[in-house]
Amino acid sequence: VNTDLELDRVLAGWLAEGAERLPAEDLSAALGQVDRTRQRRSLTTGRAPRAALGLAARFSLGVVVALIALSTAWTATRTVPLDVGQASTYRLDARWAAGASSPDVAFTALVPVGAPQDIYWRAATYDRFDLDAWSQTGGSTVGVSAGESLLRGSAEVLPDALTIPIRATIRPAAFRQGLLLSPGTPVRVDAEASVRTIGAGSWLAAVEVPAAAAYTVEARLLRLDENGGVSPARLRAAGSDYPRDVAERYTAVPPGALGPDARELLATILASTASRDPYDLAVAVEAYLKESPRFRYDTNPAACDDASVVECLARTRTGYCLHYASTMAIMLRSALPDNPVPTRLVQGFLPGERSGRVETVPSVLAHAWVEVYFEGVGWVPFDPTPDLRVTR
Amino acid sequence: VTLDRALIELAQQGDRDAYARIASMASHRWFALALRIVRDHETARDVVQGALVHIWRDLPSLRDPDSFDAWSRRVVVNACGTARRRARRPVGSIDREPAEPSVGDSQATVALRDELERAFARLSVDQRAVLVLQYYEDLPLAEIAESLGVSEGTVKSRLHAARRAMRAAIEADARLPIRAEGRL
Repeated sequence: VNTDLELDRVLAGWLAEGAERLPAEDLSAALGQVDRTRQRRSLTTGRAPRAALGLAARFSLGVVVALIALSTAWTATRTVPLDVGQASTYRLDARWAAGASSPDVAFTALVPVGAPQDIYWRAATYDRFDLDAWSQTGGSTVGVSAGESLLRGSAEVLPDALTIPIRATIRPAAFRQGLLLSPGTPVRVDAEASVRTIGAGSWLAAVEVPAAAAYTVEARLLRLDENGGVSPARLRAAGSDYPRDVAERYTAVPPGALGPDARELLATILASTASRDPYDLAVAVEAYLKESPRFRYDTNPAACDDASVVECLARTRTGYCLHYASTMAIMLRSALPDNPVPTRLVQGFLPGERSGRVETVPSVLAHAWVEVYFEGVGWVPFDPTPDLRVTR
Repeated sequence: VTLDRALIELAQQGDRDAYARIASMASHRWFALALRIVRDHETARDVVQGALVHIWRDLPSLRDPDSFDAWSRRVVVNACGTARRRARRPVGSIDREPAEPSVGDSQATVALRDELERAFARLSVDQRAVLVLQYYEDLPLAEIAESLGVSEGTVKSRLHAARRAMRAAIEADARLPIRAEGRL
């Protein structure tokens, strides 16, 4: 026995003990002090003007945070089951399953070596906000044979230069709703499928596949990086001249969606940024909901007698992904009344835990987020839900 | 976990939200580091809160955003030094749940932990930091040097002294097989 190795082992083991985290209030307090602290700037090293906010930074970081959390604490969080009705249209609402804290595996995915670590697994998208739920309108269902294109006649934009191809083999476990799970936008699947679409442009709502069988899906992932990917500059340049069916389907705000508290919240967010560019607004809304210490992630939100989950989040400042995603989507639809920013809700799962090529995604990672439409780029994901697993 | 360079640059230019993102990720790491050096929850909390403000204030002076990790670690380690001097109180042990006995952990007995804790308390903050960076953060020598703002030679000699002190503590624990080896 080598005693040096023994010493190394003892010290490493002893120092590794404990998994304490900085209390959330300490971080809030320190950031409060940061707000009152001026940065020290040397006069000799002038800095370039404020650079464009890196979308990759924004997005991937959130995912990294989620991943860190996963490795430490996901089993402690409660599940947010996203109920999908079996009626003629799907509906995304907030019914909770009893005993939801069980860390059931929803599905596993076999991904290529070197696949991005931060894959949000998409299941369905929704266009209509119904105050406490989301639904799909005006669509149709088309049968597609195994291996045929799922996007034939679809308006989903997938510019090659802005996306990367990825293939994943999904093995459903507890998730048995017969919805195709896909990293990014699905292009092809090796199973008989029914493609559900929304609106005249055939925007992808969901793809139905046999509920229990494994399948391999080919998909394209948006490149959320600065190096030729979907950069902030590109998104700002996209403008706001939206196709008619996008403007019709994805900008409606039903009566009652915004109460007095939600309107005040919108005004506060609008006051936080001078820009009225859709991308800048999306970033501002997302950042506000995600970062403001006034908002708290809570799977048991405070009681609220308003019908709209948006008004409830604005009023109680507690909620979970459905509340946060709905609020971001509706705020963006309301921010520019003359030419609203099109948004849709996405149902799916947060990135699971990767071991080698196999990613295991537990039911507790069921999630909802937002996509914002940018002409020439397509639907770009944003996730306004606070990083619950870090601060809890 | 590596922080995105673009995000650090934004924070350097005064973007408070970018800094909030950095802080929400890195503060737990800094806390883990500080706690292992100062061995006391309250002190570690003070250290990190101070460091969070300090790092924000001095970020514009960081020339290379890629060295943010090492630079921020240095701020935390330095804060551990001053916090301890200010507190002038005995360094307690990390309060934690008693560890579950496990196969790989059979030697980390309560008695050994006490010995380790006591020996560690006698080390200087610099020596503790070098041990924590080596054994907990598992950093290469060059990065430890960068994180402490000293040469690699200095890191080596500190590490040597710290290891010797810790070895003595372990040898003092009679139940350890390492003792039976009888070699210092």
